[in-house]
Amino acid sequence: MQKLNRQSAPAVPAFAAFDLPQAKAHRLVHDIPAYTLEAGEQEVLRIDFIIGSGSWHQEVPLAAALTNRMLQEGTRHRSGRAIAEELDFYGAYVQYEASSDRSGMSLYTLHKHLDAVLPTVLELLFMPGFPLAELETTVRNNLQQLEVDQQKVSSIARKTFMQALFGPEHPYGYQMQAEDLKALRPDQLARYHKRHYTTDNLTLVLAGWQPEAALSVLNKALGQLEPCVADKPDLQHVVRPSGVNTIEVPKAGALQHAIRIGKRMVGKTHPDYAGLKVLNTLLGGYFGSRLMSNLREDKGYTYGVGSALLSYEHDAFFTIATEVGSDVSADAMAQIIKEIDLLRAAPVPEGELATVRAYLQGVYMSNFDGAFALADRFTDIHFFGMGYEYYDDYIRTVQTISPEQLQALAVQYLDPASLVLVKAGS
Amino acid sequence: MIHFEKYILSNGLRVILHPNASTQMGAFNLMYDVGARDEQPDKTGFAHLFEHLMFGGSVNIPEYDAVAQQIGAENNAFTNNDITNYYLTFPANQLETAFWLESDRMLQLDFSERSLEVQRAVVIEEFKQRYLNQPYGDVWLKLRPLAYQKHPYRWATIGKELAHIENATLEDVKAFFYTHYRPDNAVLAISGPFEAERVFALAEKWFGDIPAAGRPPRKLPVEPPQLAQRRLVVEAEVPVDALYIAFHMPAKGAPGYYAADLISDVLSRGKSSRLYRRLVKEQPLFSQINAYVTGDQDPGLFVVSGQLVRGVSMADAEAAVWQELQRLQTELISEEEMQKNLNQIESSLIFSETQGLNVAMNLAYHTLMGDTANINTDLANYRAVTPKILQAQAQQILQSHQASILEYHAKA
Repeated sequence: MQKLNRQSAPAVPAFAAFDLPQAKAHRLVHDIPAYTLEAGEQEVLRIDFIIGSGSWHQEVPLAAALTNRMLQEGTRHRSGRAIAEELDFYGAYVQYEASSDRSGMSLYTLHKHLDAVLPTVLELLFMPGFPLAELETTVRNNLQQLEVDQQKVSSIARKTFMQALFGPEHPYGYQMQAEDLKALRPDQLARYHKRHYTTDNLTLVLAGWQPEAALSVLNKALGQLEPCVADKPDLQHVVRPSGVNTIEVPKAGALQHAIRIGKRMVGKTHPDYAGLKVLNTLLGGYFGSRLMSNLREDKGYTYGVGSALLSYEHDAFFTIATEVGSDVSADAMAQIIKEIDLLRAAPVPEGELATVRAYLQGVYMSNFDGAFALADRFTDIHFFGMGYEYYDDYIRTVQTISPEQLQALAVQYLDPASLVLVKAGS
Repeated sequence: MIHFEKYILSNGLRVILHPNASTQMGAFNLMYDVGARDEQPDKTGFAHLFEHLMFGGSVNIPEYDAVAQQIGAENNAFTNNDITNYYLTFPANQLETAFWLESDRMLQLDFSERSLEVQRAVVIEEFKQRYLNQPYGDVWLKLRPLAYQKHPYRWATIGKELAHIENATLEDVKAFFYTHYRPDNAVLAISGPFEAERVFALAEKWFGDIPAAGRPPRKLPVEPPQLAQRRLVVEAEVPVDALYIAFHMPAKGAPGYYAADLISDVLSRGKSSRLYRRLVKEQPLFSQINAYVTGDQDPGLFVVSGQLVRGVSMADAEAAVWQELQRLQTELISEEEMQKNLNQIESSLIFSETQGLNVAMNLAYHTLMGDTANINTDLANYRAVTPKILQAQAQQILQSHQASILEYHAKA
């Protein structure tokens, strides 16, 4: 038998291009748009009920978040307990989410229980009662959680960073304040709900096993509702950065310093966005990144360091995040800036770029694996007004962007003088 | 129902495949039968430190992560008290490189002082970040030695103290590797669009020539029955008080295990569960409360933990928990509540099967525990629990003299 060659890797096949499974569009009663993504062998279904309003559209601080949070605490007809009993009985799970741009909930259920749980889910979404006693309990528990968060250097640094970038009043910069939480009244939530949780502000995304079979059930249940029209205020939000580029927040007794470094950045619809995604990966977006290699694998300063580029509908930002030993935090920050300067000073070596291309292509494939991932990829483009060509452009950029183009992006977008640096610790 | 095929190499490596044509991704899960319970009391945290060293290069592959990234893989690992588990997901056409990567580091790790030195520092930062510099982060460092006096579960996976990690030597590393990281001490589980014949041939090709170790069977100290309640009261810089109560319970899969796990569900799974309804909603005593089982391979712990509402006394909060634990022992649970919990278990089992990596990990785990086929009997085992069995198990486990109680007070 031939001796096994362990010295070199088995022949590596090229990245196999594949057709992206795309969402199918449907129109339901009241002209509600619904999109379906079918994949998988388990008889499960996820339905996202997406309301096209978030904290961007609120007139009272925290109204969007607490309206969403309180949906589960009782409807006009039933207590939160009765509803929880029913959903739990069918093994259904509802996840609530409110961001700056959107709100809503996701139902996870076995296909066989859909008929049983759907009317309840619609009742939650459209007929909340906002009982005062439940609001008080929720506010009290949130206040305690806020205090626990304030003990974590990572939370302190993250909040300070977002406020510095966008300003504390801006929806993307605002951080939960205890006094705002305490001031909330049920009628403010009811008002937000009435203006935004409407049939014309709703989009459905169904993913899993035979999602189209669920459409008729949905149609029937939604048909019971009176159609209603959203009343979105035309709010102008002005970004008011703090103007200070270095911020230190003291936290007595902390063993580590949390660091956040970054800036506002161009968003998903900008032509440079895909290239910046590649640049971000090189810098801090994967385990072999320059920041990880330097701060963790070479110096042992940290358990982990990473960078990310995130896009909202109206703005975007870039951030580097880590927690490091307090004694080495000054050098850690210097090393981070050094790595950024290196990307600006010279083109990345071809070998390193080849690794990042391969890594991102694998991640890309895995990002389209399974029905729920397919639904997430659809939502990621749909609410930005983009089509699937976004992904074609993205993967083409990953495959073809040159070292010189990446360097040019670093020069244009990552000037250290433009970065906000936040450090929290003792 | 999870379909699988099984093959055992002559060196003892057990190989399991879950063929799944509905995905383009492969999952490769290599589970080693070694965890923090296999450590010496004066060298704790070692199994986990070793996991970090497994990424420091092997005899033919200087950089594990670089190769993984070149095939577009995402990879990671974790260590707990029982096992150390390594896994990758990757585009399915890259399967053979996963074999090359994992077999090379089982064949021979590249033992280097430099790698040891850096990973010691990284693990010390991990210790600080996750256990020392988080509110309530050190709870398990305190609760374990309270609940266990003899069994090695008395220390946490991260280790008892930073000094144990600082003192680890390269000799320790080598000895650990050749004792535990051998094919007869591991299970490989794979899921993805693969054929059994090819997968088993690749297993022979890449793992077949790695010698077995013949590790002697474990002889871990048995934890003696707890005869009297234990209580530890601590103060720390946290905003609110917290309460932790731990009871001894059966090992995962042992008689009584499923009933105990169901009891924890009855208490705290979902918004309609008993502790949430009664102690968070009806009487506002806790801002959050949970009951769960540790699910260890040796007899483990049944834990109730909660954060108190400010102004509530520890004694009142604890008394209310005991009342709920008592209720499980005196009143039979209704058929409807039983059915609700079984439906929740069914649902979460089926949802977990949608992820190929989950399936591979579960196959490896059940194989390591003795029978791969048990992956398909979990639900039946839960369904076999009757209200009477549940009550009897509550009476058995939730006794005052078997409790280890940690009162975690906010500094005034």
